[in-house]
Amino acid sequence: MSRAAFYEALVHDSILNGLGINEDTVFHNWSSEERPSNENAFAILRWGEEGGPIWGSEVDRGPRDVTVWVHFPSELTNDFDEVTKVLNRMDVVLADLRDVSGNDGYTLSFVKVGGRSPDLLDEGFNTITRNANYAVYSVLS
Amino acid sequence: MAVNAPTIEFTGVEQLAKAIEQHDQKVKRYVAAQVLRAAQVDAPAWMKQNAPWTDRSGNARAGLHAVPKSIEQGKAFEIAFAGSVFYQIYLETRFSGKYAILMPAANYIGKLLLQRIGEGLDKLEAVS
Repeated sequence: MSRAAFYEALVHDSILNGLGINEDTVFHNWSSEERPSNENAFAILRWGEEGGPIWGSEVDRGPRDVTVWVHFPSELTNDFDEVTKVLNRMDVVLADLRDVSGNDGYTLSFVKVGGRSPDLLDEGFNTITRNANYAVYSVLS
Repeated sequence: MAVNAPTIEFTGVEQLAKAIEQHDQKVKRYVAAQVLRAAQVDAPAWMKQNAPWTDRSGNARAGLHAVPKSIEQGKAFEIAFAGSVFYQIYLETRFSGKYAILMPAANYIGKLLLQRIGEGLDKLEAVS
């Protein structure tokens, strides 16, 4: 399922770093109800279902869904363009990935870019947020 | 034109067109049946089983449902996923989707449908 390659691609991209996305602000399946960062944008990766092959032609398994939530604390901004800017760059970074080995024993084959949510308010974290869906295709290394 | 020129005669065009039309109808009926099954059986069951919150009244879990819809007489199909409690929106959006169930269900059911339709079309091709 290539969590490692997916994560590394996001946290090591210099443009995303400039937008506040880095090793300290990207989290897998954040389960606490406390906001992970008060001073920066942050992103939470929700790893979803991993289905069987859809058309029977995939090498290994079907894609794994991952939903990326990008947040900005409401005290910092109420401009959803800031959120969209991060998502746009993530689309570019992820769509460019081809056969990238991760240190978790999986090789990410490619990522299919999916849809995005509307502008949302996360009243739990008190942030503005949007999320984007991706389908991650991978094989065991 | 030479009298004895080789020719290809293509007959049965009407029957072929009719067979294609019937095949289209079969495909449409098959897809409609799968959409109906996914919305009425699979989606509610999956959502009720996988909703990640701890029940208090049980109303939120019990109210999860999906509604199928045919658009323009079967040119497209749609399934709407919904909950029946007023706070469903907060379950979906608070804490970065920690308690979300509707979008994960849409992703899961979408793939399941593609899988079934793919398998079913193979079978339809085989018997046609």
